[in-house]
Amino acid sequence: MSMEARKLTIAVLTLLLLCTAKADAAVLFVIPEYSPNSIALVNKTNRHLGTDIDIKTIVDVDPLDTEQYKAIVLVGSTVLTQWPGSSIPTIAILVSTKQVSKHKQSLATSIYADPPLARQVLLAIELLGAKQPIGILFKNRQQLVEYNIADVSIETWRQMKISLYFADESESVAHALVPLLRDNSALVGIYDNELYSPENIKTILISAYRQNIPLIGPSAAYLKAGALASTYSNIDDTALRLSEVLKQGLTTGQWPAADYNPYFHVGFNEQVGRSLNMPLPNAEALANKIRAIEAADSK
Amino acid sequence: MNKLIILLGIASLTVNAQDGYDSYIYEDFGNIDYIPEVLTATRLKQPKAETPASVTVITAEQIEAWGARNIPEALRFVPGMFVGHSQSESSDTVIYHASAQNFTRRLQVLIDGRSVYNAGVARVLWDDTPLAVEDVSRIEIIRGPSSATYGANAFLATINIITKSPEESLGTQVRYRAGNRGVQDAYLSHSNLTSNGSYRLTTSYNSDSGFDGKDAKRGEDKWDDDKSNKFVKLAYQHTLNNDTQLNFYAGLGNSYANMDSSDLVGYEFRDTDFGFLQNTVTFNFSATHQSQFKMYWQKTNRNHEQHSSMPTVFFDPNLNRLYLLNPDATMNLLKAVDDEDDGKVQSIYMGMQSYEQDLVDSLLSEDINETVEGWHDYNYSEQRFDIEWQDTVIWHDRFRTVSSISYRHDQASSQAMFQGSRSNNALRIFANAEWRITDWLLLNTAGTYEHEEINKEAFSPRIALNWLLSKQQSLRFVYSEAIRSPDMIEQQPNIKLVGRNLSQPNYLNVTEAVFFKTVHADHRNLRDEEITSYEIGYYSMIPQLKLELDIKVYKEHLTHLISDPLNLHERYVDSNTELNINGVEGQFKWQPKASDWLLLTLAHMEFDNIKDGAFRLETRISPQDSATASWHHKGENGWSSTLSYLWLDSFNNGNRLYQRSELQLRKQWQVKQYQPWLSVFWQHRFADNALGHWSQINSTSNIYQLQAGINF
Repeated sequence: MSMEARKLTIAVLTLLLLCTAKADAAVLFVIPEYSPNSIALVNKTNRHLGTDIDIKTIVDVDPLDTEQYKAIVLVGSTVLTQWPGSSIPTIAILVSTKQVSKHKQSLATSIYADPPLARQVLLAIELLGAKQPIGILFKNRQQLVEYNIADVSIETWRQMKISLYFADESESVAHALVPLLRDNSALVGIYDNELYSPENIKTILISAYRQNIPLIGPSAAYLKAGALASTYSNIDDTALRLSEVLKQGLTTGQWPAADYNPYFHVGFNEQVGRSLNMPLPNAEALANKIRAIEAADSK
Repeated sequence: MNKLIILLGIASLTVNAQDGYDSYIYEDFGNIDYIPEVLTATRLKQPKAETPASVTVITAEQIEAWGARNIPEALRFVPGMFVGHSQSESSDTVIYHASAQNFTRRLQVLIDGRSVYNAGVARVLWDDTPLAVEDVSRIEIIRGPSSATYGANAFLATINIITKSPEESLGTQVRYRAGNRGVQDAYLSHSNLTSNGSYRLTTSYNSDSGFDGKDAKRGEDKWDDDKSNKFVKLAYQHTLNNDTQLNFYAGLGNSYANMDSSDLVGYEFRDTDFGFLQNTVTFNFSATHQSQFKMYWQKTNRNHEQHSSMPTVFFDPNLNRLYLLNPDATMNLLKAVDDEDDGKVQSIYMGMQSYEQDLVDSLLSEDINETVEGWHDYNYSEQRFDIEWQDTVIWHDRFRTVSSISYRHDQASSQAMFQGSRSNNALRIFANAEWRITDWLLLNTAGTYEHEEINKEAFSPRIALNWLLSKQQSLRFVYSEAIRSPDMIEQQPNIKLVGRNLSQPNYLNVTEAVFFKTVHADHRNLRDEEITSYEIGYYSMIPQLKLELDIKVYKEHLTHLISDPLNLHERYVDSNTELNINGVEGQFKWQPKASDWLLLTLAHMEFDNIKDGAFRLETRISPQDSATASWHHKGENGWSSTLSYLWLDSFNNGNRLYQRSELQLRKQWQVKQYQPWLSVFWQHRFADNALGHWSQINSTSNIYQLQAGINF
């Protein structure tokens, strides 16, 4: 989409939105800026929810003037970090688990944007076939707590053929990758933008690819870089989950605990798949399969 | 990097390649930094279903599993490829389909893009190369003529050895191997990161005592064919900036072998110093444009000396004169004298011209039974300088090109073989285009034009059509032409052996004299060896069965082959052998679990249109039917085992069968950051006969090797 077309779309969408917005809107969306994606998100949530929504950018919003809303939705990490706090139930979306943990007190609930590690592991297992050894690289052992897997026993990891590697126990990320790539058939990326920084991702992808080892994850943003596959939640998925959370919170006053989005898609880098000689299944069917496994697991 | 990756290695873009995740909203919300596109289309390897040739890939894991000591041992597992042994070199040789077993001649061999084919003596000297199998990341064997992409000498096949990036081998690796046949091998390497790159320093020593002879008693070694190879090598990788990477390699080493065996008298050895420097810079200008600048220099310095005892008359200048005047009569005469057949001596004498008879008279007036001892040499040195610029461009989703221009200078010096120096300059232009006509049809055309100083100009084309039955299944139709250009020893020999330190007294009263047989040609005008090949291939990967297979049916027509031996005894060398090879080859890999794989290769060949004499030379170790099987299992607790089997049927004129099996058991531990390991290798030969020359066999049919190593 060209810049002009993009501006025009934003203008039209904003206009439409402002026209439909009424004074007694129940929900306020705080967005970083007007963009087609933010507006699409608001529109889609509105369609699911049936409630009117107000929309303001973080620059324009006056936190003291939010008393008339029943809920506030903070969109993205920029908004979350700049948000001064409010007595109104506040929901953060499109933010990472790590960011949410820093602002826990000021939030009623959140929908994490990062794909859950377990889901990425399921994706890797589905793509490679069961019993293929999988390696996961962490910065350090403390991250196991962050990713809620500190209490998983070594025996369980072994049964799942998953090996954990810790960068701080080697001289460098490159050093840690040596045994990981030697002994495993895939590398599953954790959602950590320091470990998977633009500098590190180069080393990781080139080393892994050289040995025909695919990278799964850490998120869809890495697919273009050369990751083979990742699960991700798109605008529709986010709007759907958000409307469910809002419905529950607004009607019962009980907000569900902060969690990952149960609605998601599977994305591939087809070129990388072909180059690695890996047959890729139908993405939608695969997403459905993983969702079914997750649903069965949560019961 | 190697050309295959770049050349074949241009990934297949599909029209709607990036659907699915572009609508993703993440970056908009400040969660993620900009992630660079790392595996760009120019960096990706081509899918197997889309390669324009039959390719076998041997991985580092397989080399380790087999317990291969050197590259030729690993190449046994390539369908249609056979390993021989050169008597005159005391080293292994590799052939594909057909060739004299004495040289690796009709193959191109590249190590990280550097050709190790020695142009002076027209062969690949495996021992004179600083390369340890532990440092190899993978070997890609292009089975079929590929002069179109690699130039002359990529004749029957191309062996592309890609070493590990230092980042793949970080840490220290130590390994020691010992076994019967005098095997004593050591390896030490260390790799680490630098501020902007990485390096690996390797040093390696390999030695064994060669064959001991079929009838050798316990502890006895009948043949003095010990050999060793030692070297140091540096691989250095440096990132100049985000898009530019430098790879530097340097190596220095020595190899030594004794070459005495059954049919030789006296004592012979080769002692070679070798070294090289290589620099490759890769520029990633954009996701669709990559260039590579490659430059290397290499030098081989070989002392090859022989001590022998022979009749003094062989150094008599009059015998040399007679030989030059009438070589056939001279040889017949010498045989008759040796047989003490006076009648025959007389009849040969009577058939000669009077000036020839005068020479014979003078020779016979001396003591023709007198013998003299002395040394002579085949010393030579050879060096090459090669520079290449290569460009990969993706013009469009469906069209991409790889092209290059290169210049090569070869120089060989040898008093014995050239009476001085020979040199050759070659200019080479290469282009390859890949056009995805439709989603299921891929056309690949390539051609190389070469201009060589000592040979005719040549153009080698290849055209390949890949019909994708599905993403993982394809039929390929390949037509290719290739050449092998005759090298200096073939085209411009001036072979003259000088006997030195001749024992006294001798009737000639000399300490230094020229052996009577000489070979000299200003230029033999030998034509390029040519091959035309038609191939139909089928590739398929069946994920449900965990099976990958590749089958090719081919027809090869070889003309102007130079089959005559290149030595002192062969005065006339012609490029006049013709040979047709028809055959079928298959390779199968079944990997039911991550811990198990089964590799199977099969080859069937038929030869025709070849003269009897050349037939024996060209197909001595080419079996009509051959198969290899290899099963690997990785157990719990660091155990692994690999069982392999080699079966060669109907080679050496269709009357030999050779079979052997190999087993390697390996156990690895993890103690903190240390990984000690042990392995036992056992090879059992079922065949009674040698694979090549009758003397190339051991008294025992079992070979054992023990290895111990530690990685940290």
